[in-house]
Amino acid sequence: MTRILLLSPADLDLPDDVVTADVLDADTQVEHRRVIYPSCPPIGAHDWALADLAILAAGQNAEAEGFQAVCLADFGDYGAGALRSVLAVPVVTAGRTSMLYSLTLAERFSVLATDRDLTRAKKLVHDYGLDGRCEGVDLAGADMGNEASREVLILAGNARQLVKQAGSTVIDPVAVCLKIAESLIGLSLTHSRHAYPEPQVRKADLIKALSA
Amino acid sequence: MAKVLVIVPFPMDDDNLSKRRAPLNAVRLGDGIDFDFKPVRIAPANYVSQQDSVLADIGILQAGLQAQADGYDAVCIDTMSDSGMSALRSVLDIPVIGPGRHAMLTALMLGEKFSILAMWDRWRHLYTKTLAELGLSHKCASLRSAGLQSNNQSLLAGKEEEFFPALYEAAMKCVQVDGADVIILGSTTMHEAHAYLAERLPVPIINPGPLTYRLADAAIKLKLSHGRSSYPAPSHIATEKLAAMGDIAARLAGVSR
Repeated sequence: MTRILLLSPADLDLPDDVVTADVLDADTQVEHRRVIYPSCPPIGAHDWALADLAILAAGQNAEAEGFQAVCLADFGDYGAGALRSVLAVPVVTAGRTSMLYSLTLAERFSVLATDRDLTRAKKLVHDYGLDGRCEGVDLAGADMGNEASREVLILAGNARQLVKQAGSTVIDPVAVCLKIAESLIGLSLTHSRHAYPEPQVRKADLIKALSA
Repeated sequence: MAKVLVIVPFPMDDDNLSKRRAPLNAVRLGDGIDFDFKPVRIAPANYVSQQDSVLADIGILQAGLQAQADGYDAVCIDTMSDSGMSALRSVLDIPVIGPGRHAMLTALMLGEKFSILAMWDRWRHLYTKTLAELGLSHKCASLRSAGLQSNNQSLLAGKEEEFFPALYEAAMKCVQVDGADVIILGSTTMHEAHAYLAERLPVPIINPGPLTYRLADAAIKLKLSHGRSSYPAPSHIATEKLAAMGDIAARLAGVSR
């Protein structure tokens, strides 16, 4: 039995069966918990800082609870680095993972986002050093002409509800995130401790109290 | 049951082919997936020059050309050079997984910088090609080799005591000197050293062959394949010509034995 904790932002209201059963291995069990961000929607740095804390609090005990991986469903990858610093099990994030995964399929990718995620998505493309591979981060719903013709389209956040049809290969970041987590578990791989060093002093109680 | 074709980049007998299957035991695979290993008919002696790269591309294209028609759901290429990957993607709609590209992108899911640990300096061009294609040279901490030459048939068998410590020493330089967060084994033929290194290194080390098996499963289950704009289809597929090339190569190999 493989147990994965999926943390999703409550405002997106993702369904419990966020991926169809045939995507994951038969013995993979996903526990889906919705996390309420203190400041929502997360459209700027103030909101992002609070979202980092909320996700850290929600996931920091995942390993002790027996989960073999944590998946973060928010395309904004909030709290990812912090969770990686305190957990040894893989922490797999929708934004980073789906963008890197898309480059296994094509030379370039595009991101379609709503107002909620637009600024954050642009920031992450840059932070991850992928500017040269990204055709654009665009607002969903307005003029879909250009976006629909792009080769690989990643649907960030609730953009997936707005895109009914696209001529592109469409990537659901949450499904990719879960499948890659399952793959990392199968390969006994996790994030590097060199990139995500442990804190000298864990502050689990403080984090929990701040997020209560 | 999903079926995956693994293309082995050298002609070989069944005994040596079984060594190429061994990495299947290094990964926990999901249910309902099966792997067939098929050696190429056209191949260079080794992958150390541009001549070799051309022959490798042709050999792997020829070996995988009929994979979709033969009922396979994905193809994995068993060489970090990703030889033939682009050519096969241009003619197949099923996922074609090359370990070089996939290992580098997966490494960046685990850390900020990776190093590629090779046996031999003469493999360097295999990695610089993929790094350039991905535009990710700035994410590569280093390409280091242990100064060893492997045998693409018997792999590392019988040389463990000499090779494993040398690989460990080079890997530690990747971490301590070059700043790598993640190490990628520079060849699928190095899989026999993976467990030894994984137990001892302070950073994750990616075993590229098993990674492709898992990512083939992911692509099949997610119903995702490569983009046609990046890999446009040819106006005509040289099926008969490539089959004839395979026959010629097999005949010449027989003559030279």
